Amino acid sequence: MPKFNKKLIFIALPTMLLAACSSFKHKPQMNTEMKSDNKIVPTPALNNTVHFAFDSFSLNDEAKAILDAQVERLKTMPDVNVVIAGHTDERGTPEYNIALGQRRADAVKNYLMEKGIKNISTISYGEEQLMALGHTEADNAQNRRAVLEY
Amino acid sequence: MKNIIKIFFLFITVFVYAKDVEITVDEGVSVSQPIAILPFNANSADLPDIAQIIADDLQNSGLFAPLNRSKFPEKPKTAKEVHTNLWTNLGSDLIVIGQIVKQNKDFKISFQLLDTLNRSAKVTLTASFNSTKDEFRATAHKISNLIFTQITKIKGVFNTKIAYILQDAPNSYKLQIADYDGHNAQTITQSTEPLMSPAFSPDGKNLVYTRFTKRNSVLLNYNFATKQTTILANSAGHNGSAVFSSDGKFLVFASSRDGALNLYLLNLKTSELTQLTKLGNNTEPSFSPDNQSIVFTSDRNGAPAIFMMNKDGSNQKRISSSNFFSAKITKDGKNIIMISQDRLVKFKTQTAKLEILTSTFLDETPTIAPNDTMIIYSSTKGEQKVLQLISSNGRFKTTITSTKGNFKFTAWSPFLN
Repeated sequence: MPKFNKKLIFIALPTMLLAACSSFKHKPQMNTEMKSDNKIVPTPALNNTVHFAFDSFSLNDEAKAILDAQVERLKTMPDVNVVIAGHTDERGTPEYNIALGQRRADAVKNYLMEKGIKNISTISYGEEQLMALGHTEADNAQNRRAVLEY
Repeated sequence: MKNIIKIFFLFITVFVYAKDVEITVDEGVSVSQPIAILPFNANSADLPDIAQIIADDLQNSGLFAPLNRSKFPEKPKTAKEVHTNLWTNLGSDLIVIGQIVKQNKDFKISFQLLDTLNRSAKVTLTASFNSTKDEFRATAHKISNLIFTQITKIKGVFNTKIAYILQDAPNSYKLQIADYDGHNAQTITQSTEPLMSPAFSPDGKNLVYTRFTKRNSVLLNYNFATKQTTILANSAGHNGSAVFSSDGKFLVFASSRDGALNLYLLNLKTSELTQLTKLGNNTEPSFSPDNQSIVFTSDRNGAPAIFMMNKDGSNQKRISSSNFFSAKITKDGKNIIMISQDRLVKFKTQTAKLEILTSTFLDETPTIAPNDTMIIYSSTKGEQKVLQLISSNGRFKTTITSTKGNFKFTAWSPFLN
């Protein structure tokens, strides 16, 4: 967890941010605005990426927590179109990986639909848009993902 | 491993027709044929090294072992100057000598194939070509074809092309074609979104490929003569992994228009579309040499495996154990080239033996030369994907790309005239 997060927690809204931080484990990106009077107002950028185990398209608790936060926001934006892009790591063949990436996108879509979100479309890139170019398990884990955009 | 062999035994019954085909060179020669390609004497120093291009071509086939130049015992310019015993002592019964003569606008390139079995060298093949400097590589490949066919009786592919996708920056994807050895690359089209899986039509006049949009991926056809691109499939989801039937009348491709990936047969004349598969995900189709069957990858039983069906979708059956991908049958029906455990493998249909061909990392997207002698595939080196060429007999391996970027999805052109 980056240092500035701890600072934020210390300054304001301790309980709410603690809860949020646990679900930001993979992408701890927080937008902060420095006001002239030096008060920090946190405007958390919701994590839009969930990760998957090898050859798996099931959502773990961490992924569900990320999606639950997205659901809360999406409920306030009824007209928005959500695109979910599924990705795989570099192992396996590219055309077959299209199937695996699609399953990941579909898993996210189904979860969001169960929670009442509409207007969702999906696309699978398979292994064509790798985030990490290395070959360690950490690199592979970073690549196995589904990303929400709207 | 035992399990793999057992399931692959099914291939034997499937490939009965393969028994009728007789190719003597492939497995019959246990040692590659030594040959000496002498440097062609040129008046100009900055010309491409024709003898080296020929030597590389012959070596790539895995059927020849060109002698290293440093071992040449003499530098004869004509057949009469050859002392045959000097060459047979080196184990080479075959010599190629050649000449380059500057003409007004271009060059005259001639060669002689000699055998050294008798006291005086005997010319068994000779030809000459007029060639501009830009055509030198093409002329060298023509000579390679003549020599290759004279000795092996197999049609040469050294003047064929490959198409592939090059990703040379995070958001820069290029569809390129090049000579089979990676030289003379040209970009056909480029995109900020991924491009995938080019495939040549059997007459070499069209190239199908897949282009991503932000919403789906579209199957396109590029015509080399008109430079026009037309849409073949633009449904929701993925439209890719396309391949032509060898009569050029049909296209089979994978589409996820209904959710899962399924194979569709497109009649190119009538535009009639027939869904061929229904269970699980199905992709990576490839026609059998007789054009009547399609092999493909399916995960309908859980893990992906190779399946086979008739062209109309009937008689679908699994023919491999789990975790085999990208099956392609050689034209002689004797071998099935596949990816297993991220390695390029060869299944011999007559002996039911599985051979791992490579020791490279993350092998994928193999393509077989139209004469079955070579395979090009993609593997990972460091943080890049490179194109690898391997002779089908496994004896010779080389990397054919040297520039930066990710190269994959190679498609070998048909024979070109």
